[in-house]
Amino acid sequence: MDDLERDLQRVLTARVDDVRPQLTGATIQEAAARRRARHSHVYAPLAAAAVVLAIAVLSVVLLGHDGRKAQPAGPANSSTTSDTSAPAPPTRSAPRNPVTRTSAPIPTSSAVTTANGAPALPSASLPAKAPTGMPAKTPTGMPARTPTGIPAVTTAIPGALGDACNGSAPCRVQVTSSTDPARGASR
Amino acid sequence: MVSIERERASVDAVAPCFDDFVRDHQVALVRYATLLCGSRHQGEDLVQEVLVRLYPRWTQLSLKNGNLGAYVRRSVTNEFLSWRRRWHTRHIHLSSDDTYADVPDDPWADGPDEQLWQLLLRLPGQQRAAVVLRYYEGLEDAEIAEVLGCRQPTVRAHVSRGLAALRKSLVGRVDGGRSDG
Repeated sequence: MDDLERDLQRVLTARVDDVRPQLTGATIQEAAARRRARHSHVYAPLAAAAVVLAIAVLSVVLLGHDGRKAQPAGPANSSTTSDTSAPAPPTRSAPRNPVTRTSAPIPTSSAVTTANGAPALPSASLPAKAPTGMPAKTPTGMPARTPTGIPAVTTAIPGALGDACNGSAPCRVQVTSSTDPARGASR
Repeated sequence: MVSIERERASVDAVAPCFDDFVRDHQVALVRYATLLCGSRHQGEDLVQEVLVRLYPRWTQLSLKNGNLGAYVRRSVTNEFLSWRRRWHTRHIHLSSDDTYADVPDDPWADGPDEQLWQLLLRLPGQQRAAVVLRYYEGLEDAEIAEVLGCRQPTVRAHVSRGLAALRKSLVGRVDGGRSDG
C-alpha cells in the first residue's frame, strides 16, 4: 500500500466520521405506505384495462376457433343430391350451411315417393314417363334436352310443394335432371 | 377481511426485525452512500429509497438471504449507479455544465485531503464504488465483485484505473505547482 492508498483510507474515513443519520424504521414504513397508496391509483386502472383486454382477446380467439370448425366442406358433398345429377360447375360457390341444403333434397325421378310410400304417379297432362326414368317428351314429340344436349327426364311430382299443394288443386313440380353423360354417350 | 388481518399480522412480525436492522445498519449504510454520492443528504436519500423499496418484501429477503447487510449494500450500490444515470432527469440545472456542481473548479484551493476528495468525486461511478469498497469498507476483490455484480479482474481494473487517474491528477498538480513556483 503506497502513500496514495493510505491517504485515501484516511480521507474516506475522516470524511464520513461525523455522519449521524436520522433514519428510523417507522419513517421508512410510512414512506413505503405512502408510496403503495400512491401507486394504487395507477394499478387499479391498469388492472381493469388488463381484464378488458383479456376478455377481448379470449372472445376473438374462441370465436375464431368456432368459425374454423364451422367451415363447410367443398362442392364435393354434392353427391348427396342425386346419383343422376351432373357434377356442380367449379365456379359455383360452396353452400354456407350444408345442413339446410341437404335437409330438403331436390327430388329426382328415382327417389320421389308419395306420403304413403308409394311411387309418385305421373301427371296426366304431360306425356312424361317419370317412374320408368325414360326421357320426357315435348309437345312436339321430341325429347327435352338439357343445355348440354343430354336428354332430360321430366317428372311430375304431386305434393312436392308441401303445404301449398294440399291435393285439391292440380299442382306439379317438374324436376329436370340430366342423365349420366356416360350413359347418354353410350346410347 | 381475512387478508387484511393476515397482512397486518405479517407486518407486525416484520416490523421489529426491520426496525432492528435500520437501527443497527443505518450508520454504515449512510456513510457508504455518502462516500458514493459525495453528499450527506443525497446519501440519506439513497439509503431511504432502497429501504422503502425493500420493505414490502422484507420477510422474503430475510428468509432467502443470510446476510441482509451485504444484500442491502449491494442494493445501495446498484441504486447509486442507476441514480447517476438518471441524474439529469431529477435535477434542475442552472447552467449547462453543472454535472459536478458540488465539485469546485479548483480543488486545490483547500487542503490536500479536500483535494483528494474532490478528485475522487470526479471518478466514474464504477471506479469510485470499487475504490470506496476497497479502501473504506476493506473488502477483498471477490466481495467487491459480488457487490458490483462483475468479475474479479473487472474489479481490479476499476481500482487500478481509479488510482491511476488520481495519481495522474496529483502528479499534474504537483508539476504545475513546481512550474508555477
